[in-house]
Amino acid sequence: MGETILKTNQLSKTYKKLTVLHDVSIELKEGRIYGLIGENGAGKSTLMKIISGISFQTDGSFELFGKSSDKEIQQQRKRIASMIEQPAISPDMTAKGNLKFHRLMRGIPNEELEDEILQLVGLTSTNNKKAKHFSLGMKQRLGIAIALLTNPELLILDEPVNGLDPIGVVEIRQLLTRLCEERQMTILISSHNLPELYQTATDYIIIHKGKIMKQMTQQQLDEECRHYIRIGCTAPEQCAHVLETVLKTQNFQVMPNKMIKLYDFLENLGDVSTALFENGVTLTEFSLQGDTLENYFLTLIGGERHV
Amino acid sequence: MFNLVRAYLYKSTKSKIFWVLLALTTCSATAMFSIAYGIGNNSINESVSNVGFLLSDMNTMSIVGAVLATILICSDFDTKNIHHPIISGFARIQIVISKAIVYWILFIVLVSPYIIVTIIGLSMDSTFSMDGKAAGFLSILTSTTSGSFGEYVTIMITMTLVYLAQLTICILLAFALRKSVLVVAAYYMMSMFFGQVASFQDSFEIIDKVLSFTPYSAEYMAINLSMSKGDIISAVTICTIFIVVIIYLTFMTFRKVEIR
Repeated sequence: MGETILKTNQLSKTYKKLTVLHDVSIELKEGRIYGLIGENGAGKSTLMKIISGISFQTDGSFELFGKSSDKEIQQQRKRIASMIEQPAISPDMTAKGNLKFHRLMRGIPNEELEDEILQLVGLTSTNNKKAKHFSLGMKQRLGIAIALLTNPELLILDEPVNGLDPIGVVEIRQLLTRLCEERQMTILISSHNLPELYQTATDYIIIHKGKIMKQMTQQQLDEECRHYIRIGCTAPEQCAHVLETVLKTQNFQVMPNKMIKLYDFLENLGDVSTALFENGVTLTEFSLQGDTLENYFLTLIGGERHV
Repeated sequence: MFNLVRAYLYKSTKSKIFWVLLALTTCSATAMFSIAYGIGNNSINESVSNVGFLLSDMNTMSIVGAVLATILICSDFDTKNIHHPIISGFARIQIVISKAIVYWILFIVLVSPYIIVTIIGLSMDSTFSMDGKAAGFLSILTSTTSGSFGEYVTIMITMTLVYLAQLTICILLAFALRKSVLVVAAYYMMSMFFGQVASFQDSFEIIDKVLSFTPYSAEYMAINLSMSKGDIISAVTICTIFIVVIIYLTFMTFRKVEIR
């Protein structure tokens, strides 16, 4: 694992009597893409705003690139970029004008960078069109372009694929993956599009009603969501023997409650049930199990589970 | 902070409203100059002096200054562009000071048509009059007292500083209220209020004393060559202190504020 980019320690945020973040402790490592998952009002944007400095925690603290004092964090923010809630762009300026404004603000002398970034996000054909006439997808792309201008080490994106067409979604996904791989950029990204997030993120942070429910890697999620055939029977040892000798598989687990999880033959349930029945195994349960990220999320927050 | 000032200047000059304001002050200054010239040379009836006074810098600048604050500051809150310098690691005091510097630079550009017509008028061998109604640069233009080039420059710089000090409060209003309509309305009401209060300066000593510690005092709005050096120094000092206090209050307002 790379160095720690961000570490929050029991961050809390209260608006009057409403607690929107409650003891949030997360850790982001270098070169990984973190998917921040939560319902509307779960506290995703608030967390991103606190990290970015446009909001303040009421309790707790955080370290950015290992620095924790207010002054040091402010300095370290030069190494991050973010797009929160909606792309902050100047509507009366062109895409290039917007980038020039941000380039001047950041003191970047390289004018060619504007064209490079516009090409990177697919906005080269906008020419003199003002940003106020852009579609939502184009505004999102411009917002991402602004965020990428400084080649940040930590990129915070709140719902970046909102309003993008399917091709745009794929392009942004490929772009983020490439940035992460080639530049070791750490990305914190929130999205309601969980199937899309599943294809982009390497790690997941699930937040619900201001509390972190789980932080896990893709591998851990796959393990949690892995599809299998759940077999319940009166004689698990006999069942295991049949699986090994008749179906020639060892890709199964006998659980402490005597249930068996079989990870093979997912497309051939009939073959498994027939083999077990013909070899005298009495089945008490036989079903296909496993989750999508959506279902896993819903299960975790206590919502309705979709099958 | 230099980068921030540069970026804000670039962005503001791309705003259509800024150029409309400049066109407005140019037309108003030209009209004011023409009317003052016409009345001074008896080619225009004195009854037009009301229009001339209405177009003078004292009246236009209160509106222009408030609108300028909205395009420079309120629009950043509307479009969430205010997020960027914060996320980029700029301290909030740097953002406030940068905005103030850009505001002052742009204000000087906007008031420059009045400065230019005043210089043109002073260099002409003509009489200018507004039938006794005069304030700001108009009072310099219509003043019957003559002076040296250096004295005129000093008077005009002081006059510009008085305007800057008066309008710096728009920066505080913009950071506090954030909504363009509220800022323009609030400043317009404030300028009306100070205008009315200043009219009682001669009658009530307490009002005179209080206002003399602000750039809204009537004597600062009628700066001309008849003023003593002491009065000029006093005006410059009061305005400078007022600007520093207002910028500090703006920073305190913005320092820990949540930005939605």
